[in-house]
Amino acid sequence: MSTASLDLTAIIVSYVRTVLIYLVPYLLTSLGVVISGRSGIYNISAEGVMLLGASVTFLSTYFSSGNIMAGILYAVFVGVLVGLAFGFLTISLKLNQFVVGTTFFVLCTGFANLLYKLLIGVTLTPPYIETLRPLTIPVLSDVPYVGDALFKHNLFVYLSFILVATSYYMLYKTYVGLNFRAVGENPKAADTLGINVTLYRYVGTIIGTILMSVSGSYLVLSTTGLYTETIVLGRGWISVGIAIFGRWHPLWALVGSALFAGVESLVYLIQSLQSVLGLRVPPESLLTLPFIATLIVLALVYKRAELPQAIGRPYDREAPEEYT
Amino acid sequence: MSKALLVKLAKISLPYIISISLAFGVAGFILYFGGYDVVSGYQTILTASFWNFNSFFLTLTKFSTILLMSLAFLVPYISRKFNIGVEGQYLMGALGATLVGLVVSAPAGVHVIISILAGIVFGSLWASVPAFLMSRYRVNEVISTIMMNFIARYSVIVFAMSLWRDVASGHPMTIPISATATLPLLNPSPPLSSAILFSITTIAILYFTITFTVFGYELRATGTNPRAAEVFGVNTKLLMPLSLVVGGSLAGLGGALDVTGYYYRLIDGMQSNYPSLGILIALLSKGKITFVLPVAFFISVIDVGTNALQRIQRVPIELVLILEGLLLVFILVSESLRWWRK
Repeated sequence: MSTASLDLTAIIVSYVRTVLIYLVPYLLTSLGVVISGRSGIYNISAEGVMLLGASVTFLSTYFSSGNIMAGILYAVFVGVLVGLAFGFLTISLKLNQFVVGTTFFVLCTGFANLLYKLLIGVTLTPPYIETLRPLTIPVLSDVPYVGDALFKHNLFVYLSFILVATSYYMLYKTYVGLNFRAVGENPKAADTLGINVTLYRYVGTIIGTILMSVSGSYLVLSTTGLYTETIVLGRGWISVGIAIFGRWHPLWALVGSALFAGVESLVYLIQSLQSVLGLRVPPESLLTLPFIATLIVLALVYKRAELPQAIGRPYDREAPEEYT
Repeated sequence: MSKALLVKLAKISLPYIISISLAFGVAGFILYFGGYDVVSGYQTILTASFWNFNSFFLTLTKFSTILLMSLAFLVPYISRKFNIGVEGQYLMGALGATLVGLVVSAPAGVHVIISILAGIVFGSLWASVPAFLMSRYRVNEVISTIMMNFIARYSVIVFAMSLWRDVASGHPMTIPISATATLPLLNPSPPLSSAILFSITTIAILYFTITFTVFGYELRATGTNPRAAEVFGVNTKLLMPLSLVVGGSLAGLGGALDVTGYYYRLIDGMQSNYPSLGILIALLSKGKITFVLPVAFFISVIDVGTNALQRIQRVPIELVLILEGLLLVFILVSESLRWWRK
């Protein structure tokens, strides 16, 4: 009796711990999609940008003999580059954002794998890098159970929560944030008020791609320290779904990310308990759960689904009338 | 007179020539950076398809698959819908054809036809889920079709590892389908499957449908201006999801043809990078069905060339995706720049 309950507590603690670990990539990417979308740019290339960030982080860390900081900085740099290119095509040239997004997804995926293959090649045992060390919060981590679950994580986990709060504050409580959202809701009105629509949209796009790219870094640095072609495995696309589910709101993006990290961790939990419970489910069928969950969640929220009004539409000052 | 025509032709083609050169320029830089022989690299990429009948037939086989995949994206794209779920629909089509090919027993001609039909049905059913979610719950089709891709990928593995698993192979794949469910070969050795006849017939039928029928006209009207189309009595609420289902049936046909005509079984990963190639081909063709044919052939040639290059010089196969993606970007840029000047 007592051993069984002890096991259960251990399972819960490790489950919560896992949820927090898997929450970060969803959160960073969906925040990126949200921020970009709030300025009016619908960036669906998240999956590709994440993979590129992961590849670049792995390679630059590997070749700087384990300098994680270099890895992250290169990922940021790549994020800026991708954002600039995406912005040039969608903001300056006013091209269709879905077309550019699809193309960038393919291009970034291609470049990510190409860079890895060119610099590392095909090896029998893949090279790996040191992963991030956990950062124990002094007093709080000593609290039984809670300390293990919540306060012994790597820096990324804490930072991403701070990032949610910051982006919420910036978007909804500051003048700049108001301008920023205005550009995504009604660029014409914003332009009339003297807000630089182009500049805000570029900034939004670039912040977005930086977050996606760094989210890719986290995937490499958090658990395995390896780069594989399947390291992102749909998390980028799900994050776009989270942004829609969260009505392009940072706090709701946190809720959505927690939900999907919960589902993903559940999959791993069931897999690890399978032999104990005597279940014989093919592991691949469990892996479909996050994707099925995305479909269900998106169908459920449709009544209150809202988009920034001008999202996906390029702004043309000389266009006579907004058409829908 | 003819000189003016020539100048006009040059003006039209110049942006495309520049775009192709730029894309190949970047590819050359990648080859150089990777320490490969650039000149022989170009030569291989462009000519490998025509070295012998074997590689030419391989090009035709790939062309047949890629063509259907780009049509699967293109038909919904005409009504402004993004069917990124080509991959999943293709895989389910392959799964459906394999299932019928393994389970059903029928005389030779009939069996293969039911298998292909099963593939078409499976593909369209797979696409009808996002189509339903889109029309009933307004779920963005980009996200939902992608989700269906991942579900399909895992379903293929589960299916291939189940009852009909080929235990001799370490990779998830089924045992071969019965011989009655296979398409006849046009040429026995090197092999060329009759699948390509189906692809060509399909594109001909589609061209006719899109250009001359009411359905095609309404589809184009929906894509050009959904509001106006609706005002003039086009049922856009039905057409948009329907176009996704049609796309799914095309991708399903592609999967079924690959099973009955090429692989003769279901293999995990048999979709290769063709779904991405196909989608980009449709975008490169700007939704014009007549452009798909030459563009898809060109991309198939490059794909076979890059594969050959991978065998000879160990050049990463991603080069073909990057080449095509860059080509699309450069063409988009050059066209919008031209639009600016006007």
